[in-house]
Amino acid sequence: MNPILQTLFVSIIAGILTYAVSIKLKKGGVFGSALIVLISGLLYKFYLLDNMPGTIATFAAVATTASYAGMVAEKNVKNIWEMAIVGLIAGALFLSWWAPGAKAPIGLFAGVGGALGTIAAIACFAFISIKNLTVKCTCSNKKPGK
Amino acid sequence: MLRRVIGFIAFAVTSLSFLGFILMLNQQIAYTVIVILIIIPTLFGLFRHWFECTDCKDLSKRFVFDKAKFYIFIAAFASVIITWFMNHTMGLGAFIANGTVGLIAATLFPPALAGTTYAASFVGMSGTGVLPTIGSAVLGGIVVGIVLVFTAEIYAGIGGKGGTTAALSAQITRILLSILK
Repeated sequence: MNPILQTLFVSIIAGILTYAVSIKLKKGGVFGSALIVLISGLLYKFYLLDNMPGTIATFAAVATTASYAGMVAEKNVKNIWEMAIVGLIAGALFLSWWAPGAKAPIGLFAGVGGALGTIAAIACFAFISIKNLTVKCTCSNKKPGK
Repeated sequence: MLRRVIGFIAFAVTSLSFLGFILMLNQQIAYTVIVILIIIPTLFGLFRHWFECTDCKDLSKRFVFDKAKFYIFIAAFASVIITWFMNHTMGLGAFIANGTVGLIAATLFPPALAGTTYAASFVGMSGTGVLPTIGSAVLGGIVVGIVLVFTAEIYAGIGGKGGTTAALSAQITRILLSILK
């Protein structure tokens, strides 16, 4: 599979898993996110590092990014399908910052703790805005009495 | 009110400067289009969040540095140092350090304190280019503790609040370190 598609896939899955642990299993956002971050970190460091060095660095980082987005409140992201879209947006934004296979990301935020969380926040803001605009458009199109 | 305005502006500048740097440095047109498509709804979202942050009904609550905020500061401070130590001194890497600190915080602390501890831990994930020594991690812990105490309402309920807090704190720490050199 194309590395870009793989990265987006990892992002969507990590976001959904965090959301499921956090909201569906009621374990809380911190537990859900930390669990995914720890698993991706362990896979990166002890198992997959030697096999696919560059790509796995981006996989661990994108999974972490999506897991931060997965900490979103249930009132803003209501189900797993919506979370999949947030994961996709986070993955796309991540790719524009850190190309798949590259050793390091670009810009002033490279190496800054919280850069991944900043991507997550932007992805959530973008999704919530798109959803609000879509809902408003749908409501205004409905005729009264129907 | 002033505290919230300053907090919101600082958070918004962090988010938008991140997008701005990607736009400036990225050479590929496809990614530039993606970032522009993401910037537009993000601006709408920030505009809407501005009204949530400066909600008049909520402004009647005065800011008080109580025992809960003191605990937030101490937990944030310790979280940065422990994460930095696990990340660089023990050589476990940023993800394992952050995940471990987060799981311990989620198990031991109530949800609000666990959230701030986990958010502060992101600062400890910084590379040695940003926080080169344990002393700089101590400074980072103080900065993120202050930011977390004063900006509780900003980005609340938005996934990634902790990351934006940490990115802002790490950049402030970086500026302070360059001044102190």
